[in-house]
Amino acid sequence: MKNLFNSTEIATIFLDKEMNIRNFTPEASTLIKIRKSDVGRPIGDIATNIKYKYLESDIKQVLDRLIMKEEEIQTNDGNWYLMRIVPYRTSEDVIDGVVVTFVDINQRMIAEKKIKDALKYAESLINTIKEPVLVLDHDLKVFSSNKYSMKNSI
Amino acid sequence: MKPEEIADKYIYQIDNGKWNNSKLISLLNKILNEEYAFHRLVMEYEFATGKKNICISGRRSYQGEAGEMIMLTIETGNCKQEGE
Repeated sequence: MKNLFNSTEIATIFLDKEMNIRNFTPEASTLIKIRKSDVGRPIGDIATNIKYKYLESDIKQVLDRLIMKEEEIQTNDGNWYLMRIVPYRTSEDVIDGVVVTFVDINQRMIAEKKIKDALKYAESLINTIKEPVLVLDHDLKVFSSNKYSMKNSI
Repeated sequence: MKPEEIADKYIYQIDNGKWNNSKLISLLNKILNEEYAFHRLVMEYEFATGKKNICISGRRSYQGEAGEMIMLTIETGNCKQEGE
């Protein structure tokens, strides 16, 4: 079980109901400055490498409401992760803490930014044309238009 | 026509149906089906100040996951019949 846990390559931290560290995967130490000797310490006492100040309050909220929480967060060196905080249930269906995972979504965020930049670029190009421009999709629906409306141009 | 008023509407619906011109629609379908382009189709358009000719040019502009797109440029000044 321990080997399986360590081979997931997903940064994962297990916390008990008092938000003390119970266990973690080696990858977790790249996001939260956590060491083996920190087991048993409150998560709030540990320094992090993430630009997100609500980690502790989010964990508390999940423990109070028992509803999973997700956030896209960024590390101090600019990499993006999807943070997911899920209540941890024992085999007797008793809440015994939370599991915090961090999944690397950096490539997806870079791709999304490229798409947004390309759309902005296309929009800025059609706005340089001084006559009205319409872009239609394959259903002949208006996909975009520039800022020169027909009413303004006469 | 303001961008927010016409976004995601069919060309033949926008501007109270002023663009529902059979010649224009047929040319637009031709662009999608045959990779065709047309230049300066003259169409009479009713502005708030009265009727006036406009010239519409169209070509296929992009082919990606979103499918084929058509870019229409509209000239509103000095638009005289030149043929397609």
